[in-house]
Amino acid sequence: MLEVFRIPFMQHALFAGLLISVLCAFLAVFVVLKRIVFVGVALAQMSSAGVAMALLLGLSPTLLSLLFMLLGVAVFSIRSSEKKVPRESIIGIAYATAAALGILLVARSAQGESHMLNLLFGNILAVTPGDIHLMAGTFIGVGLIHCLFHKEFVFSSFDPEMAETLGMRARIWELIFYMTLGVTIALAIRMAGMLLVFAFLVVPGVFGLMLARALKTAFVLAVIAAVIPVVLGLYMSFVLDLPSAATIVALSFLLVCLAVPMTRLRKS
Amino acid sequence: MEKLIEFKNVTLGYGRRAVLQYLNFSLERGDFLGIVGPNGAGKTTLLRAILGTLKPLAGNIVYHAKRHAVLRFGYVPQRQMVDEAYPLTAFDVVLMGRYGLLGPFRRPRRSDIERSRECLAHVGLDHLSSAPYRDLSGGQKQRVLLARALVADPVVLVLDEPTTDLDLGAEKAIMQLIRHLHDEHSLTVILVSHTLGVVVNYANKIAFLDDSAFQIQDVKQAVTAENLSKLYSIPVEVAEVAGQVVVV
Repeated sequence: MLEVFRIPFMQHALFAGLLISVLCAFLAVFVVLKRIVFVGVALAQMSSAGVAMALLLGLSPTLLSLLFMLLGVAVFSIRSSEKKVPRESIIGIAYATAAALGILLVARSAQGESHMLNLLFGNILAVTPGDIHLMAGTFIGVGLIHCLFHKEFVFSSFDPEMAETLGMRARIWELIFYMTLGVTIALAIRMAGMLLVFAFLVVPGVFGLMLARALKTAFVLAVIAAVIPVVLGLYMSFVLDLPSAATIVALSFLLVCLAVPMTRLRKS
Repeated sequence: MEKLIEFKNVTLGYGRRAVLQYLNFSLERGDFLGIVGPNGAGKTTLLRAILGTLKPLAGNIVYHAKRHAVLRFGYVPQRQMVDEAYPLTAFDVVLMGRYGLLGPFRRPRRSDIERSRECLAHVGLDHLSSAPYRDLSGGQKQRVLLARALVADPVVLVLDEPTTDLDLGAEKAIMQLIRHLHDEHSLTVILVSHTLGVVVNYANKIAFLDDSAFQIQDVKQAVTAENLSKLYSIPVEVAEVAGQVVVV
């Protein structure tokens, strides 16, 4: 296995995969608990639309992708009355519109469609050292914010009303959480692709929460459930000549399948 | 008596829709106020305004705290509002009540942990400290939420429907505990309930949320057959059985 990871492009893929998977897995616990799984995919799609527009206009893809993501964050973090339009409907509209916008912009682009799609949806085997440095910076920044304000994020998502009563600005913390989620998605998606990032934002969180009896354990288990498929998946995809993202996601799914009997065993 | 909270011509609502209008009342230190009203009358809206999480559409809410101090609330929300998906222990939930006192960047200190343990013991649940919150019974969950409210060392304890879905034994135990906290720890209590029977036996003041003007009255004066028959537009009898007031 070590031989495979001595090859430079596999080494880059492993570093990028580990950084993205650990960060996304940590956020996945919140994503699952807050029931915002589709916010992740909608933010990813909006950020992709930003990249498409940047390529068409000749602007910085990272900048426009972050701007589009911020727009999504602003829309999704508004806690409005759900009586008339449920929030999931807004997420659905945002997802469909962003996807359509991305396709339209790609269609109008002078550059080749496959080249554009690669830029939009990433490929973990094609990451560069520059990408890894950017992701490492994001990892440190987002990680630091979550370390410093962990109790604020947990309390304001568990019981926002009580948090407000105790003087915490729950809405501000909600917004900051969405910002960290959005920045992670916007940058990770260009390196690892939409499928992998979306999977990392859901599957490890579900695994951790299925097995853990304490929140801290859920975070640890989620990270483990993301790291194992990255290492094994990259190795298997190289050896068996399989698509890397799909192999990693399939292994993640197998881990969740393993968690089901483990949960039942614990209960019995 | 020392005034703690004063509502001056307050209108409450959401957006442009007023739910409660022209509220004029004050809450005094040591009060045990029961607020009664049917579902949808605006009880939770009023509580949110008292807690400061809902700004009035019109009028002023004045908090009379001692110099440089903030009037500290302990809030017990409706049990159903607390998300049980989170894998938190009873102790974790109680400790959260200290977070407001800590501020950002600071982790809970030994004193916060000890105070949380004390409060869990106070509500009789020290033996369930490490039990998952979601696995507790309805009455136990209510006690945990009560402990979380107490751990912030509040001046005013606010409870939103604390006895909903509890069996008779658990309901009585919770209400006796709240009464004990009021009597022994000089807590000012505001209790909202749609069950008149819960309020009349424990509160010393009562206010009805209905179409008439919101007015705080003494329980003994307000809870009469004549007043309640008028309020509910049906014949109502008030009797005393084994030391408890029963409304039929």
